[in-house]
Amino acid sequence: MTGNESTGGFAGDPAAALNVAGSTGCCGNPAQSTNITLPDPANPTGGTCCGTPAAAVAANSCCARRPRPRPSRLERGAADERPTQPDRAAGHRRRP
Amino acid sequence: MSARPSPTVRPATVADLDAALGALSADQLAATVATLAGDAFTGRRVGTPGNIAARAWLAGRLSDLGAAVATEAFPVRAVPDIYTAPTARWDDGTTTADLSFGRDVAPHLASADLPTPRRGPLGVAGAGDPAGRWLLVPAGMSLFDAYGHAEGAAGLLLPRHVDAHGWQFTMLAGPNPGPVPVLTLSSEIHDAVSKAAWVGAACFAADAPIRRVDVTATNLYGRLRQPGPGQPDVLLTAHFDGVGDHPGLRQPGAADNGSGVAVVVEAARILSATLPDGAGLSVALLDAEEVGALGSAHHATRLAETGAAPLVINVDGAGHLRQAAAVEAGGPAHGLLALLDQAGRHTGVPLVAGPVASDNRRYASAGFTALGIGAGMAGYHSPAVPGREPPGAALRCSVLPRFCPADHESRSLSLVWREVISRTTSGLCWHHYCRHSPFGVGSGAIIGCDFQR
Repeated sequence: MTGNESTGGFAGDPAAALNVAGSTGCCGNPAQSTNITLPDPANPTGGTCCGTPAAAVAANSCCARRPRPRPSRLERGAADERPTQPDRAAGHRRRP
Repeated sequence: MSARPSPTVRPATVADLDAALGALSADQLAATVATLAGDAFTGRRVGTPGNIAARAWLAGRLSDLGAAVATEAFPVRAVPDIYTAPTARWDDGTTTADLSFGRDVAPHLASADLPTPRRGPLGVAGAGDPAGRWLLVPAGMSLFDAYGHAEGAAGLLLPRHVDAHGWQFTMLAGPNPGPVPVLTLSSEIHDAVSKAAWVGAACFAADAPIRRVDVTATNLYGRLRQPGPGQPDVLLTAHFDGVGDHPGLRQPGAADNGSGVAVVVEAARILSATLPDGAGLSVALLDAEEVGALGSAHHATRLAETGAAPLVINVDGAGHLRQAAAVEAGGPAHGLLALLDQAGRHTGVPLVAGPVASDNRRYASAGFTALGIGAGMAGYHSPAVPGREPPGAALRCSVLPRFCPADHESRSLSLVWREVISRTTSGLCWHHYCRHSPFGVGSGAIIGCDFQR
């Protein structure tokens, strides 16, 4: 195998995973699993599994939106130290 | 809650990766999934004998790894329980059709308990007198709006999509029971019944045997290595509970989350022997995820009280990667994400920022560095199991935990593995292959799996 064959990893900035908006399902990973998009709990009419956003919050459900902590100074430093990415720099990215 | 500081993580060497790769046991992974999905554990719903038996078996596995094992119990209220196989049939005045539980019809979580069948004419919510009728709720009308049209109704009939296998997958987390019986019909059945309802003379008869039970859930913890001062403390997590069997329907939970548990236990086995001095390692096999990630909520609270600062990697679903493994991060996770990216590139596993609504969120909400990785689930919350995939389908997994003390890169360790599960009509057959890094560094966390035809 050579570096040119690598197609894995994030297509963009890995830190995007820190900014995943909302939730397309309840506990578990149903959209990924079934290709069925459950109603977003942000939808005021509620979803199949989570009910309304207010109900999710009241039940302390994992469907409830959560505040996103800011990275610590230490952690931001770690991100700055991450190694170079030779395959990305060479433009070898996604699986067809 | 504010973010907690965590140790930095640095890349590993190819030699480290290769050494770890050699230690992988595909047989162990396969055996864990097969056992957890077996009949004896009945789908592992929280509070059930099958759940308790599964936890006992896993405790033995952790003990065998040399872990100091502990459990922590907590109450869970109002777990949905379908206590007998529901029955439903409808007729248009000339022909009668029985509906199949799980495919055509299922009790909605918001349903009131209806232990015996109730028969009534069909109607449409918002149109005409609802008294005594089973009311079809039009697509687009919310359940809560439908309640406003259901005074005196026999019950409500909601449309629901089915998965690729034709199942209405089971959810345990959801709304509380409402005032009337509520059933979900597959979209196809809902359409057919709706047409008959508008014509008139159509009737529906069904029960809705669903109740709520208060149970005790129990997390299982295993400490394999104590962290040195200022050193990383890795916490691998996966929930072992499932949605559980229904009467007449096995829901084995092989992918959700037998696969994640298998990944975590195998990673712990290898890392316990190969992590550098000073690095901590523990495992939390969590209960009650399916009812709202309550086990992790409980654990995260306890960890916060002790001032711990673990690096959490949660795996929920490592069984059906269609395009890329979804990754959701929380807390101060920039460094860990960079390593995960390296891991993905190292093994050719694509990653995408996407929702992983699982236990990782509880840890992240408590301010811990937490990654959730979801690589898909064949047979999600349904009787469909991986063994029913077409012969020749294959499952490809990659798992790459790697952590090292910030001040001692030469002792860094990585673990990379990739599994292929070939499926035959006779059952699961795992094949293992390793992929060596072309790069000077490799690192990361847990990736996922991929069916290949």
